[in-house]
Amino acid sequence: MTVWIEKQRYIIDFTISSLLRRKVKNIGLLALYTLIVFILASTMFFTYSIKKEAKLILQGSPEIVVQKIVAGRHDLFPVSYIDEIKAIRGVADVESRLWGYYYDSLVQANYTLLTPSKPIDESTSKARTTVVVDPHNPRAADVNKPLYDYDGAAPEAGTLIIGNGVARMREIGPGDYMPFMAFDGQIMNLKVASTLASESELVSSDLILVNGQDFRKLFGIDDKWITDVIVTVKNPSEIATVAGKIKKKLHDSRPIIRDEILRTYDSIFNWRGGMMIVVFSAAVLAFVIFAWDKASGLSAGERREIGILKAVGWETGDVIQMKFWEGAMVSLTAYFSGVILAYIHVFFTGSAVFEPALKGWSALYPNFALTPFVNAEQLTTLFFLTVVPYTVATIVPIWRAATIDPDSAMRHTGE
Amino acid sequence: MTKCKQITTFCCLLTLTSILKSNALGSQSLMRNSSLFFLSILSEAVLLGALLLHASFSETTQRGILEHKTMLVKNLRLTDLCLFTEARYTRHLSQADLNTAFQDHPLSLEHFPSGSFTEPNLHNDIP
Repeated sequence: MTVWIEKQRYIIDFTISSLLRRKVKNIGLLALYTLIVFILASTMFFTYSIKKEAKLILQGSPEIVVQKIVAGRHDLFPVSYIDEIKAIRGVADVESRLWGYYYDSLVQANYTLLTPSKPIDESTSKARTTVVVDPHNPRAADVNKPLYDYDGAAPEAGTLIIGNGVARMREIGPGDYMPFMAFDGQIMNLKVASTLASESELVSSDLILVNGQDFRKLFGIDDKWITDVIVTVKNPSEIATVAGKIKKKLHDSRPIIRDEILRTYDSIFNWRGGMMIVVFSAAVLAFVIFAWDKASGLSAGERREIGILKAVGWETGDVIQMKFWEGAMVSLTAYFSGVILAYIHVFFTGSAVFEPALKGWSALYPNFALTPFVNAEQLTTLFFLTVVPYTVATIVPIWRAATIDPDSAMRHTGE
Repeated sequence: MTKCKQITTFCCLLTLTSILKSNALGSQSLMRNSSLFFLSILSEAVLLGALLLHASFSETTQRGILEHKTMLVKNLRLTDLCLFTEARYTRHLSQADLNTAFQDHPLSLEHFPSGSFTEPNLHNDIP
């Protein structure tokens, strides 16, 4: 065993010296390879984490949302429809929602204005995290204080609660006034009562919570109309049936069930999506070029090297082992470096490389830190996509070259 | 799993023997290339392991924050993540009507970059 280990070590020593002889080429190859792994791993980590987080967070979304459709577009929902929906068997409760968009020409950003309904749970946060508090530290956190000050109640008339993204963009905070231009051209100055916590930016960055009266005054919406309704069903297994009954009863309505909401976020950043297919096809193409370069044959210098090695007593098996280590060294180093850099990129720098693409044309983009959801399946898939093909592609052409006569191999001089 | 352990033991063994050997040869001798390689791979593997541990601990510590986000979604009756605020159908992906992406004129291409990350929800479970 020790002899075998020593032999492998000598082969590795020689392989590294051989790689260092073509320093520029091999360092360039390693850098490019690491970059490909980095891009693939970053995409994998980012999409998996955001999908999983969306799945967990949106479990709290409404069971059924019912919109009214006129000529293929959303329209305001008549209040009179609520009683019709309530009459459907299986419906437990129907709640109205008032929400819309406001374009702020000052910062060229779109906000989502929403009128909160009554809170579902009186104690907004039953969940508690165990925190050991140092009694001597006056600045220690109060364990009984919920992470979010906001309890879900509607703000008073003339005041609003803003998301952290809005506060950051407008550089305003509690006590400041925010002007809005109403539908009739009048200016409404609303006072900022508080801001939503920065931890919730993934769902609340662009939110502005206003009172129902202010909302109607701002957009000129009559009391007879609301934006849409949410329906709670007595038996969760009947959600789709109730949604079907609503559609049958109100032909101009569009019910959207929670499963559809969850599925929308399950298909986001899908590999078939435009940008993702560009990333993946670029990575696949780069791998094809690698493999092609390796499989299409060796350079004259490499052939001569093999010829000399065989002339001085190396066996075919030794040459193949040497090339195996060459492929394994390059691909393993690239794999580990790429995965580590990708993890740091996604979970420590907030996907800084992807940010310009993700921001798109939006002026207001949430600052959020993703919960690192990483599993063994992702790392194994990446390993088999990167390390194995490269190592195999390195060995195959060597098999042909290592079996030729050393004399003829050495005669092909010049690179 | 056993194979993984064997490979890890092999790598550790190689690294350790190489380090011990290079030390035994005297402080003047340089570390062999193979030792350097195994040391670097081992340190990268340890670093990756540490990051995976970080992921596992973060999941536990951030559970409270996730629960609070879920509560906020529940209390405000929210339906979507705030990812792309550039257009109404990208801000509320699940609420967008199915013809919004190409609404401007029949031959217009999707003009918001975020449209290339998403796809419309065409499935409908409602009978």
